[in-house]
Amino acid sequence: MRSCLTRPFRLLWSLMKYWQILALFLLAGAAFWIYRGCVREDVPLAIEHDKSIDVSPEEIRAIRDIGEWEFLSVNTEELVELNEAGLLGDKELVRIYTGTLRLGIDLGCSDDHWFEARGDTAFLHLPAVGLLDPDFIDEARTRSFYEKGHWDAKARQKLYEKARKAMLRRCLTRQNLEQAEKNAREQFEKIFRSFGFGTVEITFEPSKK
Amino acid sequence: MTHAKPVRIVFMVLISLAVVSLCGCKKHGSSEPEATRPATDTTALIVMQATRCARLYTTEYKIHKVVTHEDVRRLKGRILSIPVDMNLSVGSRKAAIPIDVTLKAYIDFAGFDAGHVQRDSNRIVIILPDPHIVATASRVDHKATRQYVDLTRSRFSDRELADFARQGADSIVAHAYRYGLEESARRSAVKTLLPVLRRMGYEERDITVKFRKNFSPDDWRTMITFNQPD
Repeated sequence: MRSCLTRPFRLLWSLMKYWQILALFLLAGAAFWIYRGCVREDVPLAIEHDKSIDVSPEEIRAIRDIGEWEFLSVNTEELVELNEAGLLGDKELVRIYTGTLRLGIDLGCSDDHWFEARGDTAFLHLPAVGLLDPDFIDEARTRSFYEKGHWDAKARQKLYEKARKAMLRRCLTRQNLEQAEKNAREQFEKIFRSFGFGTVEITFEPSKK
Repeated sequence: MTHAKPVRIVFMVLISLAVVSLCGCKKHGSSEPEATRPATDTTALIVMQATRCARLYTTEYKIHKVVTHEDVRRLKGRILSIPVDMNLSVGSRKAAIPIDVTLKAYIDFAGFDAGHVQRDSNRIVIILPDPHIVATASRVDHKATRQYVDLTRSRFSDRELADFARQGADSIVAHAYRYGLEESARRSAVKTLLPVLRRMGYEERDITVKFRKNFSPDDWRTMITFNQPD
């Protein structure tokens, strides 16, 4: 009987000699208790990594009255890349640029006599249809597709010019200019008929290209 | 030695129980399988999209902003009801990116018809379609862009810098209603249409060019477009 009672105590005593194991389990228990305490909080513990920009002022640098009529807009994207071989390895930068080419006429380029009214007829002599603004790329919406290595401002400027030339080549075509001119005729006819004119005669200056 | 075997057995049993309990733990939250994102074919995005329109751009604004960002990782929350807020980053990392955005106010004449013109023998009233604001272009000044990065941190990637520039442009466009574009758009439209109406035989005092109403800042927020064609 005595041996039945002492045996479990002897077993327990032998286990107690391995205090490291006991300490490990106590530590695990404490960590679990702390974790549950954190999770149950109204404000759980978390790592915050704010990727938003700081609040900063916006400055109006210029204000200009313009009289640009847009008749065709061409929205386009261009993928451009730059590669450089180096001693320590090759570098590569690939970006996707977005731009909108706006084709139309700039009445600021014409004199005041582009419109004449004779009775029921309106005579319009409009400037040639062309690209309204040479700055058409929305560089702030550029997407960085792939980057390997360190690139400076010169490289990014080079990519911008490359994208600009590619967009002009692709979008500023004779076909688009003719379509814009056709739209201009239709729209001006509609507007001047709204003003009460029965006939609208429209001519365009020849293109300077 | 005689007690080593039962101790080893007890130890193995406890370790096994711990492993089984860890593996059996369910993820906190939904047990549904993660929804698969539909694949996006970006090929279709790299195309030209030509849109016919009839817009009169009346006013152009050039807005400048220096976009700044300080990259900090913080551990925030509460441990056993004790508030915790500590900086986890070793070293600092900052960027400053100057950007310029071109905003233009325009009036869309695509829907302009005889209903917008009220005439009698002497007077004419033109009710212009509602004005809109669009960001037509933006430039990032890469030469003036600066990064201030400690030795223990890595430089900002091109993707991060592009993201900051995009946020800056979005902020400029979102605040465009504050720049007083309504009055300048109306004034500029009058300047464009006045010579036409005078040549039609109307005196300047008999000409009225107006919008259908005075627009509030809330109205302007709905009239801002982010450089997308209609």
